[in-house]
Amino acid sequence: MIVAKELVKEYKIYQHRRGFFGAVRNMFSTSHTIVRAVDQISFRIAAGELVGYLGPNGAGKSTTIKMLTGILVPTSGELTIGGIVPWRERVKHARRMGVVFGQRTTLWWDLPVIETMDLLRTIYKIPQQQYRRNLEMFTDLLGLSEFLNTPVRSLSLGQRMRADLAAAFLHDPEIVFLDEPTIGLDVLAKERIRQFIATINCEKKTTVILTTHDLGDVAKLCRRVMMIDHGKVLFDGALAELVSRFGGERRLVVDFAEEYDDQSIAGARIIAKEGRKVTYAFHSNGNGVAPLIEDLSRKYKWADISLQDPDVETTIRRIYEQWESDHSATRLPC
Amino acid sequence: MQYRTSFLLEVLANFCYAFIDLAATIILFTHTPALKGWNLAETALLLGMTNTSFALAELIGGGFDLFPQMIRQGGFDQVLVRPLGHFFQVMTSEFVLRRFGRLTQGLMVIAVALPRVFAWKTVFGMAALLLPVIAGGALFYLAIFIVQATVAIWTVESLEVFSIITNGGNEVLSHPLDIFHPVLRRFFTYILPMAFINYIPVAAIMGKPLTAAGVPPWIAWFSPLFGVGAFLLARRFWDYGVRHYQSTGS
Repeated sequence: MIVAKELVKEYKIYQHRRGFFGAVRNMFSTSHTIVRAVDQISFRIAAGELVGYLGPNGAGKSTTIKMLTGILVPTSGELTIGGIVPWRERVKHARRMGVVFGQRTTLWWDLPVIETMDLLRTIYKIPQQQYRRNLEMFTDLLGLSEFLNTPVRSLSLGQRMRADLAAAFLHDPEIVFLDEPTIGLDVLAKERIRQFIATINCEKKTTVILTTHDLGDVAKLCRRVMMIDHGKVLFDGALAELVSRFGGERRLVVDFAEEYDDQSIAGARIIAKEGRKVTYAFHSNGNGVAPLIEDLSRKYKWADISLQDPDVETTIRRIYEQWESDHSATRLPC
Repeated sequence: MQYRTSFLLEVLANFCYAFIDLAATIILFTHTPALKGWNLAETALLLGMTNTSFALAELIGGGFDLFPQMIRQGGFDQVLVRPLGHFFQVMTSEFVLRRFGRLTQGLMVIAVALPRVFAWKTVFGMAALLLPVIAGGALFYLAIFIVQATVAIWTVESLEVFSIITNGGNEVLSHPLDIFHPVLRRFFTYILPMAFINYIPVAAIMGKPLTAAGVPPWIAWFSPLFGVGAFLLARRFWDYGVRHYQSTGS
């Protein structure tokens, strides 16, 4: 569906001079600095995938999304979506895609939600039957009925986001870009939106690219994760792989059947004790948990064992931290 | 149309404002019967035509006026994700009805001036050129609005410079070009050929010498094409600008 090859986007930051003559000089001046927001990233995304696109602020996420949606023209590299170069055939591309910018609505400020949907039906030339079917389905899934007649400007953030989502999927796009669709929402609203995205992706086989800072979104929705920082892709693969590769220490909780003075096992360290219950931490790179349990069983009698994998959030924080320490020699003073 | 009174007052204010131009011209002619061979009715025709063109351009291209704001607020991103032409979307993003004030004034001035300049030898020229010239003028002003808007893609300041051309140009073109300094005449003939919006065709129709502009009379018949040309160039510049659009931070 999406093929990106060595995609680059550079921004020119012009110097601003003040005053009237400064303004005149600005018009002709060429003095600027170049900032590389996206630095030779390559990836492929197949139809029907639901991909999480992660990265800290300023990593290049939004810039990538803006190139994918046809808003920005890449500085170099190749990009095709369903065989189309988004910015070259912008209108054709726009017809097949949907987009939600969590930070800013794509709807018309003064129109009631239902009229907005009606207007979109005209713009996207959605057949009457398809329109009614989708609107009904989305109203149901997102609970739109309570504010269908409210102007967009009077909606709460959660309502606005739901309206935006419905609008983005209304014309049955092949691909949808969601740029931070859960930003600033409460737990219930987030849950509802995640449920909606999952349902649509599953039922309509819509390809979804999702950027977010909320790792709950990722854990609940994405089988595949791409992580970007400083314009480069740090990781691209299955979520489980991300966790196991970068997750660092896993935890093993053992309930011993008897009291032991020495409870050590090879390859793991004790991080907590509570009666007969001992928690070990170990690195999962290598052979997994099998040798640990072998050693444990040889030395001790145990009643119960449970294994805890690190959660996504810890994993991703570790990646960011690792990346930062690799790339910055000087730490901030306390 | 939520605020009817406010709307009517605005139209009225615009209408009156536009009449100040005319009043100035009338006062000028109370001191002299003619200005470099142009009498009041002839000058008023120039004024009426340029105002009509300007008002039409403002009416059609009102969206371009607010484009810098759209860029700053990130609204242009929304335009670009819709399956409609960006030029069309921006142009129609704002329709300012109050500008009917200037349009009405322009048309009224033409209506009053036209019978007074009427002569059988000019009737063919007037009939053939009046509407195309006004339309060409509107396209020319529209082209300037488009260029002004496009520049906002690169910079948010320095846009006021364009007022020299739009409002200043409108002011100059409200008078016969003969009265201005040669530098100004050449500028509006060769560099920014706005004299073709009204002065050159009107002078040619009425058989006045085109010495002020320094162009052969036959070229006057092609005046509206300068508007079309300016518009097409501006349209291309617009596309070039959109390709270089950088958007705002997330």
